[in-house]
Amino acid sequence: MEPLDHASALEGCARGDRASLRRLYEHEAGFLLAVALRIVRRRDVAADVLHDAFLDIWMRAETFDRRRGAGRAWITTIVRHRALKHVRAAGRETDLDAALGAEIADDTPDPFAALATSQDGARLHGCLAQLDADRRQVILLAYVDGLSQSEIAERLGTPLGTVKAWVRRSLIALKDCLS
Amino acid sequence: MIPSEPEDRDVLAGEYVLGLLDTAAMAEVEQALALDADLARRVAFWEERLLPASAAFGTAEVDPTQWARIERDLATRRQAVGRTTISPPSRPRYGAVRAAWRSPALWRATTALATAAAILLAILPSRLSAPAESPTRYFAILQSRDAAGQESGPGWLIQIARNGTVRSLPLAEVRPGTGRSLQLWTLWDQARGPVSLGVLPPGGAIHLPPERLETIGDGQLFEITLEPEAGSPIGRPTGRILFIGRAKGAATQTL
Repeated sequence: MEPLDHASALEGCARGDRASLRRLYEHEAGFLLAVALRIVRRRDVAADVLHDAFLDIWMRAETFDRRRGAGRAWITTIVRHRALKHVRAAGRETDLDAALGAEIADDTPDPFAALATSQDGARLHGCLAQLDADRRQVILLAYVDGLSQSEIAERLGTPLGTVKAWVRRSLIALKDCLS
Repeated sequence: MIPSEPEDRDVLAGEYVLGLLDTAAMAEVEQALALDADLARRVAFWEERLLPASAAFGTAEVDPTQWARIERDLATRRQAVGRTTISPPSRPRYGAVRAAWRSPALWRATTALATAAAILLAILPSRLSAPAESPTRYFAILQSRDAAGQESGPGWLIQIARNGTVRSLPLAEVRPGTGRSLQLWTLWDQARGPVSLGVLPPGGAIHLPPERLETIGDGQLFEITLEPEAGSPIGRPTGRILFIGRAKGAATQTL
């Protein structure tokens, strides 16, 4: 597949060019579905998230501004927010364990390990590696798995206030390292 | 409350991107992003730098029928939007507050309202109850915007005369409430952010100094926000946007 110019495709969407949306879909649907699946943990729900996210992308493309950020990050944010909205609304605590067992229990890659081998991930991996393991995990559980701060506190057996402090310090350290 | 310290703003932007904010805080950031280019850049920083953590997993297998579903629903969404110009309240609810200052949709909506503007012009002289001592340089029709950031039709007409007199005419019912006021802002420089043109006096006019008038151009954005009675204490909008729209240069011929 030819490389995709995400910004131009989004600008096409803003003009109402459906072929532009189709190009984005063909290049990114598999990736975006994986992002959604990791958060919502159910294939049927992830498919709905992807569906709604592409309608969002179509409707909101006109608010995309290439001077403010990259197109691929922009569409990924839309998918993540859709997925997060779903898990927050559904009160995930109740069905998380069952869903985990059913769908992706055994083949969930460790994001930190996956970063080490990914082409674009070296820098982020290097900066995350400078954080203590607990603090690194807080960031990844939030970003990759879409857990809330109270869910993270429960998962790690750490007081909520501590999790909040870790988030803040980790973000400050990461900002410095990634800038 | 959006913080002003750079470090706090980075943390807020990071928490927003990580998805750690509660619903109210998230909505507040979404709304701020439309006006706050600095915050938008900080959000984009995290979106881009964290992206490899998402990308590291590769892809999932997509149901081959999924695109057909999306395409089917696209058709209905666009039709719904198409109806908007005729019947503003039917606009579908979408939280696209972000970057509204630069939204081409807003621009299109404003343009599409040219007909409405023509009708309004006919009633303007009597409603504004002011002698046409100075020709109009710009008009701006501001769209009403509800708490969810949805636009619901023309809400305010702004007329800027060549001598700097700014008159405003409400087209929708609005009650700011006790101890609150409506403040008019414009944006000519993204980096600087919105600049106050003053608190809207009920039925009165604002007078702009010539140097400020010179900064107004075709397509420039105007908005009215809900503020404390004396206006925003910090020189930037603090309340939500009630009306938003772009300036359009007045035609030179007389009607």
